[in-house]
Amino acid sequence: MNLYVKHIFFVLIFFIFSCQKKKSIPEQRPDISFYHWQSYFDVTQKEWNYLEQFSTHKIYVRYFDVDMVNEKPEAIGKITNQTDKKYDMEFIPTIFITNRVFMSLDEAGIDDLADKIFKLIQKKHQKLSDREIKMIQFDCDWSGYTQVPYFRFLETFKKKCNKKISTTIRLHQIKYWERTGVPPVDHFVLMCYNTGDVQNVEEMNSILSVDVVKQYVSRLRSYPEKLQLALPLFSWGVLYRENKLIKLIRNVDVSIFEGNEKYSINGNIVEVLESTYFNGYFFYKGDQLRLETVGSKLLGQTVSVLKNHITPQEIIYYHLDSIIINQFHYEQLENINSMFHHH
Amino acid sequence: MNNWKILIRCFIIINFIFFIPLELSWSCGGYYEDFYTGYRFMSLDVIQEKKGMTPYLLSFSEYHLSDTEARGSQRQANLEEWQIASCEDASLEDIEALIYTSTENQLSILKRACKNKQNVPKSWSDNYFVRQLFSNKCSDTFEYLHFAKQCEPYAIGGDTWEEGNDGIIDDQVVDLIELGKRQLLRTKNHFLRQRYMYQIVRLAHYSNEFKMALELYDELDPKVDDVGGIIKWWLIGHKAGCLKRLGKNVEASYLFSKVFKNCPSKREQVFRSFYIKNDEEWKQCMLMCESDKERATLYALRATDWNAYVEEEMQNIYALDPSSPHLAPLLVREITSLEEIFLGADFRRSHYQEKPDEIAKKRLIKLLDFVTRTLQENKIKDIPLWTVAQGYLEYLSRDLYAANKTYEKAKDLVKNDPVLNDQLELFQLALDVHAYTKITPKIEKEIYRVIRSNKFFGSIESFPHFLFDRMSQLYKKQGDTGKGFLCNFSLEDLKLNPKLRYLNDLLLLAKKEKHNDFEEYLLKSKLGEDYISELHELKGTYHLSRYELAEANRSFESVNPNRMDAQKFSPFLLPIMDCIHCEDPNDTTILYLNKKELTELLLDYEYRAKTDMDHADKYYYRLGSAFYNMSYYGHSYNLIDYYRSSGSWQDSPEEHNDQDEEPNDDPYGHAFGNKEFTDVTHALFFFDKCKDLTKDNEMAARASFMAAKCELAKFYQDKDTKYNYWKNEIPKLPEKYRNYYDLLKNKYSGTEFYQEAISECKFFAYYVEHGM
Repeated sequence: MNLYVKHIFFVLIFFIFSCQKKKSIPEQRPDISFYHWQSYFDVTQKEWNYLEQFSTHKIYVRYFDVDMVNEKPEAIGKITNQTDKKYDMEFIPTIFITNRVFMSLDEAGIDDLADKIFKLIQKKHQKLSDREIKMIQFDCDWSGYTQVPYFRFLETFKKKCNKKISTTIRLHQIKYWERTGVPPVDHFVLMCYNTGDVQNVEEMNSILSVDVVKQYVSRLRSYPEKLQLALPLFSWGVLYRENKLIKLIRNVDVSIFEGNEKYSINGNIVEVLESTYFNGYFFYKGDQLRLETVGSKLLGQTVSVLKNHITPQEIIYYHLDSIIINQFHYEQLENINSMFHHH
Repeated sequence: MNNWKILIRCFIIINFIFFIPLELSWSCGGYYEDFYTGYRFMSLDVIQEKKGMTPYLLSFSEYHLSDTEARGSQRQANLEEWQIASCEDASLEDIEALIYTSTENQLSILKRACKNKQNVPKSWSDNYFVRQLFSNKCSDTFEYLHFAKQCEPYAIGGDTWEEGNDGIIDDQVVDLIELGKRQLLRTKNHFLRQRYMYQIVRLAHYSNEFKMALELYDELDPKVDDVGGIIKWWLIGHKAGCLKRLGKNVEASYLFSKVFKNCPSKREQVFRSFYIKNDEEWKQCMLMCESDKERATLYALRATDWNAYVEEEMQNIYALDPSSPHLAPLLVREITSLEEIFLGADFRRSHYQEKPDEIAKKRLIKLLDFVTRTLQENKIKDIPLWTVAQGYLEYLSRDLYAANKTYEKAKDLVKNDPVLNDQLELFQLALDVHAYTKITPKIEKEIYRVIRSNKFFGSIESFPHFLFDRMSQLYKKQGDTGKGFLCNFSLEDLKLNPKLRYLNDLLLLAKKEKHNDFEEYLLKSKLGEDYISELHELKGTYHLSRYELAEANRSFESVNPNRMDAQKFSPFLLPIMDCIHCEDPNDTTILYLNKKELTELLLDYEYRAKTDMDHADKYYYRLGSAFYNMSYYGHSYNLIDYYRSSGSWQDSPEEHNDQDEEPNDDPYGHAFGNKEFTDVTHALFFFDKCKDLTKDNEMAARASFMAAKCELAKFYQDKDTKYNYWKNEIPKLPEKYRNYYDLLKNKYSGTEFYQEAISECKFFAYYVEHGM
């Protein structure tokens, strides 16, 4: 009897401890969030529902771009909120700045630009949310030539705004980070898309290529800052005429061309057999449209390459829109996410 | 009667105010990018001046005018029209002050004063234009201008850093629309009414109230007489824009095409707005057209896209309307595109340009066939232009014989047209240059004449490139290396990375007993007036960098002594820390030498180092000092290096040697790149010798320290080095690069120099304290 009770007691103790042990080191998965990269902030109910499934509490919203216009940096493509509605969500204002902006700015110009950007962010933000801005992200494909002014800008901006600053990092900026430097910010997002050469008619998929990612992963561990991850969910058609890139056409699918005698389809290449209008674009006979897409299989392959080299706490998908949420279900992205499962 | 006269005057003025053609002017011929991409001889003037046809067809996609340029040109044209409209001698400054510089408040005061028949306000009494409007009692004009000024903030872009209203219509805009409507109905002048209508519709359009804008258009249109002019088309443009935003692409595109046809100043905007979603919409749009001319305009709009198949669209236009004004601009545009590919393709240097491929060749042949056919059918409007174009296309397709014949035929056709005549002369000159097969003294004489007196040499930016690139090719072919080099490059290019083969050939040319005019021009313009000295100095410097002291000395002996003395150096001054400007200007003990004096002294030290064993250590130390200081890392770097790039500190001495054979083909690049003198091998050898030979521990410590610095430089240059210089960190030297630091630390720590080095050099102090 005593032995039996003792046995039960030990078994119970074992379970209690094992349960506690499991609780004390919870399973960690990266948080999921999305970029919003449209001109109008008008998130549909379906999109909100989609976000809710991921229990995501923040969204990276492109507020505007900065580019050189008439030789001056100007804010362009500003997001508009056509309702008075304010959203109860954490918005990370995201600003895309073209590289050429930093090619001619002096110290005073950098200071002025930082000032203007911060003021406009605040004005835009007031229209979207009552919550305080916690972090601001900058996206810029800086090069060796613009590294110094870009980094100076980031430092200046941080001093002015007193918020956390995030920046995107492209793969090529990882490869030689010892030489190209590490941006002076708080949060780093590895942009794992646009890996290929879109100009090249021979390219298979310029959005994402596992082979290209493989060429860079060995450098990820040595990067001195913790990297979060941005992955693509978009698709596009790349139109070539006489082997030259003509246009990028968003959200096209092979099914649109199937059964239409004006096109012939060979894999992901659609050839135009007869000149025709398509969604506002005029295709000439002989044009080639390469359909590029990122399916969950390709995302999975990419993540399986990345997961041994990077442990992100956050995955940001580019980008949220009604077409994309129909293509990628919650379960598919959760599966991708679970590949980063770590203790 | 008097009132009637006033009304007519106001009518005329308003007419000009509102219907001025705001066409932009292209002040000079061809278009050249800041970035040189190739030769361009086809001038847009052949369209602009002769046909009154806008050159925008050439510019919509590729040559997008900036807002500032567009606004500036419009403003100028606008002011000029006001000047004519005033029928008086009002100056442009006076008109500008009223139309552009005046504030809303000022216009309000002027409006009130004119309406109340008061005198011209004092602040405007010097403005002749304002006085004229007052004397003609044009209060309607002031009222309109005041209204237009109030609309301005809602119509022009404004500050992009300011937050807009997100397309939500502002109460003030609604009020302005109502005010405009009241004022429109109050005035009897239909030119003014049309202008009000334009402002009102535009306000609604830019507030994203498309439906409201269309309703306003329909409401006001019956109240405004069709008085013609450009405002009518601007209004239709807004109507089309609203229709497009409401998804009515067919109606919108049809209206856009009408604006495109009738209103040159809006063509660029219309091109960007024209939108056909699918074949059905295109079909419907064609059906809406009332004539073949209108249908041809639709094709012209499609052709305006820079990526369009222009020749195919020209065929479509020609089939519907052979006399279409759109054909000539499209022809010129296609030629400019083809000349970029074909002109001088076999000799130009620009590697940015594509080489003609099969696709481009087919394009050229198809266009030539089309031009030939149209000339045969004789239905086009402008035979002289098309004949000149035919000749040029024949030339581009390398049929020089046919091109010559066509040019001959065209001469008579263009003789009364100075622009086309110039174009033909330039094409003929290009053909003549291309036809040279060998550069003889006779040809050099001809070319010198072209350089000195041909109008195109100075006025057509790409012509000198074309001429010299062709000559360079022929010189190289006939073995004239120096002349071939000088056609494309100058002494500055050679200074960045001197090449002996080129230096020797140029010296041969420079020392020739008698030069013809062209040779003298080439030598002086590319090498400078004192070209023999320049070349010898460069050659001497080249040998010095290679530790070929005797050869260097021989070259320096031929340099003009004054020139040699122009720069002096102190390469024996050797502080512990590397520095650029180390010399104390008040220190009279510092030895300053020119290159020749230095070379002679180095030769002397070299001899003594080998023969005077008691003092050999000192001579080796001095040799080492000189070679270290002359290197990229020393303060006398400019003794060897003519251009020091701060980004080259990791360049190995082998860098840029791969470009030894031919100068590169980057028209903006330097002939052989910029080679820095980063070689510290000789310096290291001399310091090492000094250390071995000296019996003085202080000297040995000093030499070891300098040898360690040479090793550090070699570490920087190592291709496997990951060290980032810009981070200002202390480098971690691998074992193979720290022989001399270790030696200094282990063997000479008892010397005074060792203590001095530790206190001066933080680098070394850190090593001593923490190890590597």
